[in-house]
Amino acid sequence: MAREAGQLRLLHQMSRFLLQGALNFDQVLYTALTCATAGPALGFNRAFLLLFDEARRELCGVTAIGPSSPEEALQIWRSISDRDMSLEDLVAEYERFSRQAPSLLLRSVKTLRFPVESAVWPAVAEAVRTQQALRDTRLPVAPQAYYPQPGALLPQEFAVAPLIAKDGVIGAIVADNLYNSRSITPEDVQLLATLAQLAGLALANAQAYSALQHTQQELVRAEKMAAVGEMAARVSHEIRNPLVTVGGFARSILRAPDDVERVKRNTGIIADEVRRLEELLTDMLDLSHPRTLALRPERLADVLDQALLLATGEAHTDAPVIVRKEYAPNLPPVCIDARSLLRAFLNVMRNALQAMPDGGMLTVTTRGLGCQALVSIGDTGGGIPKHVLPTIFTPFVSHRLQGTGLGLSITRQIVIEHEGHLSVDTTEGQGTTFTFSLPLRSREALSEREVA
Amino acid sequence: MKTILVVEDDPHQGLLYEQELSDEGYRVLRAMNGREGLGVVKTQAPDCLIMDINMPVMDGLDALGKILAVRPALPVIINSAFSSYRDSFMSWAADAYVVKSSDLTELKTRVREAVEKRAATTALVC
Repeated sequence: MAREAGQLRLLHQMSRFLLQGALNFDQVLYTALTCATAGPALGFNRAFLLLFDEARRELCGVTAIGPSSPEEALQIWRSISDRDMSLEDLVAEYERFSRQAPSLLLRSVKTLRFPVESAVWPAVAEAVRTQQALRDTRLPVAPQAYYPQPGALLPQEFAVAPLIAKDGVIGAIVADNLYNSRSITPEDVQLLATLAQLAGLALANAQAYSALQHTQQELVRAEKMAAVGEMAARVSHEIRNPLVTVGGFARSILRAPDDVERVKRNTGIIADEVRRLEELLTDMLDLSHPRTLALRPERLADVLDQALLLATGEAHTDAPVIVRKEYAPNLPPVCIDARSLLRAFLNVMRNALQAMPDGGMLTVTTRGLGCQALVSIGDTGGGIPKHVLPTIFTPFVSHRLQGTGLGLSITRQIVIEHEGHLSVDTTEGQGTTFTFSLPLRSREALSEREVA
Repeated sequence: MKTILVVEDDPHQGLLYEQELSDEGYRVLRAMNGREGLGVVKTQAPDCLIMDINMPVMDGLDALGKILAVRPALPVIINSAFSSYRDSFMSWAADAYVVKSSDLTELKTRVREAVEKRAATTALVC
């Protein structure tokens, strides 16, 4: 009973290692052979794994675990019993195994290749053909690959189990007790067969997983290409429009250079459009290159006041816009890059002012909420239409008459770089409020971050 | 004097078309988006429509269907920075498709053709 319980536990362990870990192909091979040879598992002295090359109908030696000589066997047994390693520990040694120089046994097994129908190793051929595990004494025709030690002892017997995956046999595991000559019981064969079955499934999984990964990478690349294409279309649109205007007016000047009034007006427009192109380039560069933030404790009210001054100063509208400021008096300084954030606030304020061509109210508030500082900038303009809302942060999507369509993308980028969050609340016909939430970092936390 | 309606959201570009087409001897009406354009054709009878596609409020392809419902015989020239809309179903309803260029020669040629064709059909009807 105790023995059966032990076997059940072992099977459970093996299935967990082989089927539940996200293993790659080589890891599965290693794990299977470790289970075959480890003392706490099947405890064979040595195990080899052969895979079936379907195209050539050949079996190829792929990997092997086990000592290459009796001396090595002795040494390994000593070190393992000294360290008292569990099966889990042994399976976890894959990294070490994959890095170390291949043993004599491994090198020999890897040279092995024979047609499955040939009489090179009848026992293996039989296991593959019948899909049954077996114990056998018939050694291969040229045993050097398995017993590379010159003049070495040969085993009395060995066990073979077919590796079976979804589509049939994909190889075989061969195991023996070359060094301690312990006899192979029907139970050992049965366990090896179960192990081989698990390994077959795991190998199929690993292959499917790697195919899936490949497909996913392809998909990501295709998506990136699509994004680049879309971006290119938008950029060319943004560039072509000012170019048409600049070129058109330039041609017009060339044709009638003496109409001073017209030349003056047209060159003014050309200068304007060129400035627009320059702004577009600056914005694009800003979006594509992440800034290095110079974080310093700043009073948000100061930065907001500065942004307000710039925004209201450049608005060339006579419409009366009332500015209402509600700053929390006890909000501690916030660690920010003032220049970047000034830009972000300014972008939102510009949009707000443009949304109120007939005047209205611009409300700027700050408040603390837990470990966040909240800044809201609200207008009483027409609001953002529902169908537009999902794309307001998408580069080059502009629904306004001025601007490059990059302002809000850059703004959000800046907020994300501050590890903050930007949200929008809008009601058609009533107005829009953007809320920045920025982490209230202590000076200590900041310096830690810098060290990190 | 023939009247051309230019629907273009970029104010400078709109001005360019107005200036250039006025030089050619046309009367030019301007609208900033599809909806404004639709408003104009309801009250006035232009001889040709130059239509941008990418515009806020109502884009050109959207507006085109509505405008043609009001004035089915109005010649339409699509003038876009993109060439890709050429394949759009609505573009087939237009008489010509011009990809925006600083050289307005092609646009002017298409306008002339459209206006002449319209004059011919109108003459035939009368």
